[in-house]
Amino acid sequence: MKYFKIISVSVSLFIVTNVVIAGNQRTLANPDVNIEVRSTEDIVSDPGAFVSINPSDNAREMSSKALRVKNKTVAAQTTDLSKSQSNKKDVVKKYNRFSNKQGEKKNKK
Amino acid sequence: MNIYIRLILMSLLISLVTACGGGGGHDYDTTYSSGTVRLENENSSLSIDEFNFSPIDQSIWGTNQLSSPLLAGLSFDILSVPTGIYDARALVKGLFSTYSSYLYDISVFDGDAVTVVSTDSVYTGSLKIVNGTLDANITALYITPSTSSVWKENQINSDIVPSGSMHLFDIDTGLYDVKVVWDIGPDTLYYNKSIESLTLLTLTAS
Repeated sequence: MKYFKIISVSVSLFIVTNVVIAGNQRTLANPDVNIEVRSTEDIVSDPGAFVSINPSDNAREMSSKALRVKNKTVAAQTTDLSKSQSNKKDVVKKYNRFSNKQGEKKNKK
Repeated sequence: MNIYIRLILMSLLISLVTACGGGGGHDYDTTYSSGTVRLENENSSLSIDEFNFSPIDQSIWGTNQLSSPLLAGLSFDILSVPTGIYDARALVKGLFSTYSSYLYDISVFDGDAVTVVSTDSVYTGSLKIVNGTLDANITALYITPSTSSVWKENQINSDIVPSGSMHLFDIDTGLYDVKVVWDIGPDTLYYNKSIESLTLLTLTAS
């Protein structure tokens, strides 16, 4: 009888633990899908494969760095690319996504 | 006597005409000076779909200066640009996303010809976060440069439901950390994800 009680309690604990763990798990939609996909636009890797123009002496190269951002970021919470870039400039406001506002600290391992 | 009166009247008339001529000269002096801006598309294959060129004190990018996409290897001139300081933006609408390139504080002097060059490596990148679960919502999303020690601001205003996604355009190239917060279970973390020019990085979180 004593062993029966111990076994019963152990089984109950095991079931409760499993239920708690299961309740805290997410179900994958598609286990086969790649977690990370990098889609690069049509860029010719071999520079000799295309005809280049010779930049002028006073050429200034553009940059991907938005030093003075003009409300440039658009986040589209959809599955397609329906939204385009904003046309609004904001010469004062910095890129608010990466502003100086502090948040939770990262715990990098 | 009559002759003297006529002479005086003629003198007055000549004076008036001369004064008018002076006024015309003044108008000529205020004619604005201008320069030329040349956009050179040195992309390996991608066309530039839009090119904006607006004064630095203007709050919007203004109209697209290109009448049609500028093909790779070609250049485009904007003539009679009034002297001043300008900002420029080029847009490429790719197969996967839209990307931008910027150049600021471009001085255009009288008679000057300024050249702006676009290449494959000078564009921003994009990031897409997909909810890869069947039963959990993404309740918060943090994306910060890897050099940052804090997560800063949440990027979403409403939950991302299962199979939904968030597409972030126009991200400066570099390394980023991403934190996905769920309504069920622990956070999903990605560190040192590289955002590259003219590239869409898709992360399917689960």
